[in-house]
Amino acid sequence: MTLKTRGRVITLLGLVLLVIVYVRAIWFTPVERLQGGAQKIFYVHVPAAWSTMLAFGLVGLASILYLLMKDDRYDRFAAASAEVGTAFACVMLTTGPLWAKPIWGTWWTWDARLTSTLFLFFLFVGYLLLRGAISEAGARARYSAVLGIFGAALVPFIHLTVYLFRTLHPQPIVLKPSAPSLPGDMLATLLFSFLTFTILYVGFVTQRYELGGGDSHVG
Amino acid sequence: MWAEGTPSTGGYAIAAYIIAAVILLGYSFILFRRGSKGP
Repeated sequence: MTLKTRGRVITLLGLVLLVIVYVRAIWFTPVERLQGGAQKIFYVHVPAAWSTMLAFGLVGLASILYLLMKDDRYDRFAAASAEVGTAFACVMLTTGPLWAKPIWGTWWTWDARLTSTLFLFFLFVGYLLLRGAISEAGARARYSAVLGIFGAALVPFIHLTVYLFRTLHPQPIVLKPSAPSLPGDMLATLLFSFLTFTILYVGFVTQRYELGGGDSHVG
Repeated sequence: MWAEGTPSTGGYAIAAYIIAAVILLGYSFILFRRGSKGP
């Protein structure tokens, strides 16, 4: 089985699991009493945020490895992971305001978590544009590796913004030192969604890796 | 079951689920099409 076929199979598996996540979240997970149905956005928004941060974090790691070893496969992986992360960031940045409107009463607020996440999104859009603008492979890989490392350095900072600043955004309920603060049914749906989005990430990156590191434009 | 006093905000969830599905399916389709053309 080629890498491309493997990527397609994993993606298809991820999409089937996504259907199961939707069915489970909509019909088999309790409705939160204070927020109502809007709380169910959480089962898509949080795993999308996880996949985004995973993708951008791995761009940083692959970029460091590229600069150390000058192996083109790391550059190719970084390009793939950056593009996939940007796609997941689109999910995160559209589903978040749809939750915020009924719960906070506003689509958007310029607090530390939201602003830094939007900045990260624009940084990686810039990363993809940079890759598309440089035709010489070595220079493209070097410049984008530096930018990728800066972008990835923001990931832990964004995670900590809810602790460091006064922010409207809820604090982590799973990725925190203490036990997850969520009832069993809701936690099971959330963890299943985390798994699904991780599988989708692997499927997307595997397919995108096959396309190479130079062609970063979508379409 | 909806407890008494629970706000009816499900429309926002449906909108979010549709948008997420469109983005993820759309990106899957784009990757499939680009992969079919070759590197």
